[in-house]
Amino acid sequence: MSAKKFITKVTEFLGLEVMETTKKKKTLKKIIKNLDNKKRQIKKSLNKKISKKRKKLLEEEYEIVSIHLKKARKLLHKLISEK
Amino acid sequence: MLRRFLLPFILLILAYGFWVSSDFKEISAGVAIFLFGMLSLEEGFKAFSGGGLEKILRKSTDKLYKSIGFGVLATTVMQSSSLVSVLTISFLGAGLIGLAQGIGIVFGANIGTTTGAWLVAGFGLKVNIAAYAMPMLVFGVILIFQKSKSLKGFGYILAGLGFLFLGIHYMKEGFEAFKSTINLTAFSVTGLKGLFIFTGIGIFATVVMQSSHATLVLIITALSVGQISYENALALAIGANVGTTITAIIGAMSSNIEGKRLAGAHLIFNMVTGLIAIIFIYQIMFSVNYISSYVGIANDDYSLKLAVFHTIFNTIGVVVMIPFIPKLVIFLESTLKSPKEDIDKDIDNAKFLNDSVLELPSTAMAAIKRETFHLYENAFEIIAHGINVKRRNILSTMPLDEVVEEKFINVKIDIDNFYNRKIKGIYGEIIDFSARAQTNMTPEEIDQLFRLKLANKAIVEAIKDTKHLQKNLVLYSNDKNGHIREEYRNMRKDLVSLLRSIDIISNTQEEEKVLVLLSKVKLHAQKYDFISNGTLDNLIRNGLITNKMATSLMNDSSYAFDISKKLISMAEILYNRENNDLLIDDEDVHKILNKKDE
Repeated sequence: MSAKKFITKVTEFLGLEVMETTKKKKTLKKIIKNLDNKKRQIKKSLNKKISKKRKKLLEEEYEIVSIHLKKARKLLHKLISEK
Repeated sequence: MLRRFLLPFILLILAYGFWVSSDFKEISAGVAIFLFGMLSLEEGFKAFSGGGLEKILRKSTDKLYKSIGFGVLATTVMQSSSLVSVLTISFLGAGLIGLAQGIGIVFGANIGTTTGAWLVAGFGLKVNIAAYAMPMLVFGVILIFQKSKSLKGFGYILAGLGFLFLGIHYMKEGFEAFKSTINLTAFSVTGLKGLFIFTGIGIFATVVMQSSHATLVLIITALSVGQISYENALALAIGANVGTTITAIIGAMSSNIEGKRLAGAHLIFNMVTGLIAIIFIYQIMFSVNYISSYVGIANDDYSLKLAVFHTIFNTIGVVVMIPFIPKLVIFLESTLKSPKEDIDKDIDNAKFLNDSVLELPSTAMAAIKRETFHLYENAFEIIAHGINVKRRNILSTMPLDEVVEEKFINVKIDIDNFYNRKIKGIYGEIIDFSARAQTNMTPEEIDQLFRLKLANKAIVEAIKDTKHLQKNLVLYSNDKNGHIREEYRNMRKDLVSLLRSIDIISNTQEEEKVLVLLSKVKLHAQKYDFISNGTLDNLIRNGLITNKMATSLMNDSSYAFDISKKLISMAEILYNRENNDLLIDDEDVHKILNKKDE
């Protein structure tokens, strides 16, 4: 068994790589949660009576947050399915 | 100069010693094997310094008590205060820790190094450690020949320990055999005279062996077979502590300013500690006897009593010096100044790039990142002044209209001069340092480094674009034509908004906020596309600006767009941590813009 293979086996045995993925998933889940909250807040503000300029800015932010959410969910799904 | 004469002199003395006494040869071989073991141990721990060790060091040195604790622990585990000092100098050089924390680690290392005396006196002399040395050496050497960095490192550690054990064994054997021919205790000197003479011998021995650890082991083994008196052994131990600073000073001569300052702190600490030990020698000896009887050390077990003495006087030194650390920092920083600081105060140089961190990939990466921030700080100044606004106004909450209203200066600034003084040197040093640092990096780290280099390139290009933009910006900002004046005013306002956003991003901890802010600035950068958004057509069609103005506006909007694009890509690399997959791309930008138009 080569040294590289030995190290890979040890890392697998100790679950070190899985730990890294778990950390990434945890971070993503946190980002998704916060983005979700933000999206809800923006929607609430949009339903209120606000100036046209402010509405335009909020709509833009809503679009941005939606894209980030979509991307984050897709990435999380990919990480889960890889497992 | 001193080294040139010292080396042949030592070699001659040793050769003579080997010729007259085979026991002396055995003791010397023991010391040599011990020192080689320490080198091997250091090499082994260096192999693991690629990430883990540096991360631990970085996290555990933010407070003084933590840095002292780290110094104690790291030196206890690695049994090498010099390796801990080298790592500390690297961290100081990279700006990851301050001088106070560095001094804390060195103080801790002084306590940690006393564990060596305990190990040798308590374990090394009572067990036949040579029996463990042989298999350790065999396994160690086999592992050294492996390709894997970790296995190789582990091999060096194992072989290092094997050599240490073997060295102690030979020293012990040599002294025991020596005892039957010459009784060294006949040369013992009592009283104050003996204290000074043997302290001097301890200093000399440590300077020659370049290791206080080796001197101490030699003292303990000689003491264990009764070849030196207990009183003289204590003086030798004090000498070893002082002598090790001379080794550190010789090492620091070729080191950077941080290394010199740390060596200065080490010298002051050990001198003060040595002085305290000499003045209060009888009181400390009394404490040693008291503690020894309390913990059950036999009255005639001088080796362990020496270990107690060594620990007590180093701990006293740390306790006495802790309150003076802030004053020590001020003193060292004002006395030992970087040669660069004196050469030319107008020219800015790299602050965090030191050759001492080249061998530690993750520290080198952190140093390059810090230097990139430094480069951006200077670039921020040039860009702000290039678009004629005051830096402090950008960083404030002042409305954008007021920021552009309050001009920095009414004439063009010499961006080339700024560039040569504040950018060129640092950028060059970053590129040179990166090229040398990447030889020790993994492919993933090289990829990360490449991105950092791109961030640096983006900063430099943004300055060059500012230079082109500045020409017309100053001209048209004061033009009679209100329309062109307004367009250039808006251009400045948008750039101020971008610089302010980047500053907010740099101070934001929440990852989702960074993401949203980065996306916003990316979206807003599209404002400069004057051709597609119809601004230019409108101005020309209605005869509001001349053809010459239109050409200038078209070119300059393109420069402003480039500046934004480059600063955004720099911000994405420097501040977005690990969420590159979540950033919005050009396709997303167009999607949002199209939705807006609908």
